[in-house]
Amino acid sequence: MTAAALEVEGVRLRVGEVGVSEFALDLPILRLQPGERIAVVGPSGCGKSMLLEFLALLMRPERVDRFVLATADDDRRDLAGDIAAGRIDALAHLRAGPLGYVPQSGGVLPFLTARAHASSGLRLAGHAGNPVARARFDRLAERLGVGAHLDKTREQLSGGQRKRVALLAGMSVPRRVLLADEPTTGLDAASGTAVMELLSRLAADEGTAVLIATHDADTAYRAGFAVRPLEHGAFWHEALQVVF
Amino acid sequence: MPRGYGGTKGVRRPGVALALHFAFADLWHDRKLSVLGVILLAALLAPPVVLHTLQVGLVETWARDLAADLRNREVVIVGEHQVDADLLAALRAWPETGFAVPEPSFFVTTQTARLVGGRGSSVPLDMRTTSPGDPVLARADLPPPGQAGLILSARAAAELKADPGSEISILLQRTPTGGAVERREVILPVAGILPEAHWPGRTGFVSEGALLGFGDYLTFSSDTPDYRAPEDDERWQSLRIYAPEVSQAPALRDRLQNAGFETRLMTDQVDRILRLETGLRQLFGLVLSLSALAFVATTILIQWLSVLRKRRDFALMAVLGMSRRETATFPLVQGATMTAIAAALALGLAAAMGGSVEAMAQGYLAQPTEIVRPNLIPLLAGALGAVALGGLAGAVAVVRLGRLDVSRALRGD
Repeated sequence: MTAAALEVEGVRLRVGEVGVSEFALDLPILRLQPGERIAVVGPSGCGKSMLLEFLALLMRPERVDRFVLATADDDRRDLAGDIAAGRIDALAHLRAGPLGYVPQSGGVLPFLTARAHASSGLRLAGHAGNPVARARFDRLAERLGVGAHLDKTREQLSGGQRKRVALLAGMSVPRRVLLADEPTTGLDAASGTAVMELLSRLAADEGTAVLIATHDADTAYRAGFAVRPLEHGAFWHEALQVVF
Repeated sequence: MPRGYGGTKGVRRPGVALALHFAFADLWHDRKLSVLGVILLAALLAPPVVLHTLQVGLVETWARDLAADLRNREVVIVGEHQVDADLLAALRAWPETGFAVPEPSFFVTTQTARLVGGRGSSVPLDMRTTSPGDPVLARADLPPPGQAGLILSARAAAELKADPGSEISILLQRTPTGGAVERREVILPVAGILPEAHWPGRTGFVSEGALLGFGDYLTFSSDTPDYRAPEDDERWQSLRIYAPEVSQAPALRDRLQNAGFETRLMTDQVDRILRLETGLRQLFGLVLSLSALAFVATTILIQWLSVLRKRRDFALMAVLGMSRRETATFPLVQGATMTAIAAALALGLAAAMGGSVEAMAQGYLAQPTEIVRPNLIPLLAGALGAVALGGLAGAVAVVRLGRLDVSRALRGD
């Protein structure tokens, strides 16, 4: 059996004030195989973004028993100790390498051109001068429909273009795991479909495990994603069980 | 599996370089705010720099000129006083006294002179005593005139048409009771000429003994106005007295007044300039302290607010894979850069003021002189200190960055 790109177990996430706006999310087990495509669906506020931010090592959980990330073909590291101890900043570099994350909105720095922003990942990963990497970057930009807009700044880009530039930043480096929060929000139907298909192709061609949060379950399903619901009840204390 | 490009193992992560690029790109993107911040910081740095330039350029030049002018060390004795040998010795022993030479009554010192063999008219001459150690002659590298010599001021020499080596005739007149006016000429060779800058007016410097001889003749104590060495119990009517430094002239004046002499400073502005310099130094210290305080508070506030305003941008940098240490470079560099530009502007302003300060100072000076310019080393040290403070302000802002909740910042909460 192929080694998982990401294995997470025994996670409890909690945000908000205790007894007032507290929200908790349990993640007993999550295992993502290389090339696997998962679309997490659920109503707004059910914790999809929280789940992705935790997986992107941007949020410290209340508890985590196991968080094993494949950082290279022959290297799998259990990061649970660092995460539990709150040392997630020390793991930030992983987001420039094996673990890509595309935030839900506005993910373009205002003082950079679209090209400079999207290629920041390449520079951080030390691949900025690699012609193969640059060619892949340009190819992805064309596929995302932003190739002609790379010299524009954020204020010159439409909302949909910003979203696709943020996606390009997330895809700019080959990933083991790519997390995208609502990647088709703000896009027209055709662009949304193209983005879903590109993410799916990335998983198929490069073996990247792609996990997205989306409200567009049909498009995700048609693009080859396995749709998994993230449910939450009417009560604040209801724990969610997400098992893949 | 992802093909990748050989992974990131062994590759130096250029996070700090990228943060540097981001910091400068953001300064340019937000250039209106950046310029506003720089102007604000420059406005806080400029007052102490400008005040320092003025203090050095105007007041220190004045003070230097005053210190260089020997006349400003002189305390003028007004009227006549009985000065015996004991009092003279006591005055000379004061620490506030640099040089003192006794003088006879004014009727002895006010005489008429003419050039021997010349066809010029007579010139009224103010006769002053001198003795070895006289700073007036020493500053002009002139030796004491000796028992029978005469040192002329430049103006007196010009009016008499005299040169060194010329002979000057001093005409002494006395009128015995019930008798006719008696006249005697005293011939004195010119031993030297004092430049105008060292002593203005029509003055001739002679030895104490020469004027004692004049006095003896004029008061009928002698029939010839010959040189006479001072007696042990000699009594004089006045003296020419100097402080060792300009700054001690007011103290010497005060001590002489306490000893019963009526006095005034040769140049009243000495005291005022010295007080102005002291006052400006204190004012400079106060302005510097206030500016430093306001500067520190403003730079910290600018960087702190910048981090608050850009928290979403910092969150995005974290998403891209930059650690807090790398993103911390951003406010550090921005703080130091803005401060460096502000310091350069303040220094440039001081340099631009140089011409105006010089013109202003020259207008107040008696004669054209080289204006004192601020020492660059303390100014540059101050500028470097300001840049370090700017970086420090960025570091304080980094503390705020340390508390950044990336998740909330990404959602714009």
